[in-house]
Amino acid sequence: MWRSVRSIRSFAITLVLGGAALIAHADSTADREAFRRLYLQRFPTVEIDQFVLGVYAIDAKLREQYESINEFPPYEFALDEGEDLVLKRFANGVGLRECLAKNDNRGVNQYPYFDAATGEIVSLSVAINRCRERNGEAPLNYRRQALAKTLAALNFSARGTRRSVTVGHDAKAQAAYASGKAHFYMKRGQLNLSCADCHVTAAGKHLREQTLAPLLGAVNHYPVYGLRWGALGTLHMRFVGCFEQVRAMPAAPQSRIYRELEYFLAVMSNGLPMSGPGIQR
Amino acid sequence: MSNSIKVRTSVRNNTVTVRMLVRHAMEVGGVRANGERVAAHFIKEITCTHNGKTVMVGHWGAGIAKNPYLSFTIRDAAVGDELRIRWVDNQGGIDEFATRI
Repeated sequence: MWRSVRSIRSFAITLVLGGAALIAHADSTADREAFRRLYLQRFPTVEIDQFVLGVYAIDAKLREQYESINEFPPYEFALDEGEDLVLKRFANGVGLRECLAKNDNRGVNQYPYFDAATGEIVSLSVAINRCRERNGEAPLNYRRQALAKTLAALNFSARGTRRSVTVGHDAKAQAAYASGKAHFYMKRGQLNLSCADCHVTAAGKHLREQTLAPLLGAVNHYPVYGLRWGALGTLHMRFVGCFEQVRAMPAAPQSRIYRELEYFLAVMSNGLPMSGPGIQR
Repeated sequence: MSNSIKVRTSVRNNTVTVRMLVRHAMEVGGVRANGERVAAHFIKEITCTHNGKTVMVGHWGAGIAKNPYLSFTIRDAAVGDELRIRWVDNQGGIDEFATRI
């Protein structure tokens, strides 16, 4: 029933069940080119930068609704609070931006990154909490609004930049990238669906009344204000929701699997504009 | 709440489009799945005055969604005119916002 994703070639990856992914040859740049080509061919009337809007890039009627809501974005109150949270200094006087600058002065568009020292993928959320812990503050809960608002403010200030995440030559970074990619294409859950099944193979088609979103650039508009929630939602919260929807056991936000998925999706979105916070149904 | 109303205006000829976002829980009330009782808390009335004259009155109920967005137009209005928005909710809460077009 599902077409195999034949148009993505150029990489060979072997999966070993229950453990590490062995990479025969992980070429993230080639993967990204193939990913782009697939969506550009599937949706030839859509200009590439528009893909950051997700489903609103490919459906004219939904786009009209999106534009009318975007005239007065519903995330504005949350964004103001986020800006206050970013500016609020920790008890010891250090500011968040000052602390984040210690990560090689990385811009928001350069997250997530592979941290060679710890061998982990560091997402912006993890970096924020590391800063808080290093400065004697309690970490923020990954499911709650305070973190989402902080992410909204940081991403808003990154508008105008383009996603720029490099995988590099470090073997562990390559392995983390390959693992993220493997999880993206791996079937899971009682419904036995992979991310690719809905968002690559069936992108633009309907699942009940919802139009399935293409994922090129999708991570660039997170966090999103969900109209169905009346609140902001982060990328990892969306991953949790997706796992639940295919009836798979969800992992916790910011767990390794989700950070690796974020890494893979960020690399796929390289070169596309940062457009957070976004708006979704 | 110090300020729950954000207003934007745009003028065309002598008609002004007023758009606003109001932050309010707009809670329907009732009993949650875990048995917790929640009181209804929603804006009952929202008014807008233009240079002191009432130009819009909204009588709202619990059916209006959380953080409502409202837009309307005013004829014969110009830049510099004063707009005041005021809402009252069913628990007696009030907020007001004054701005110039």
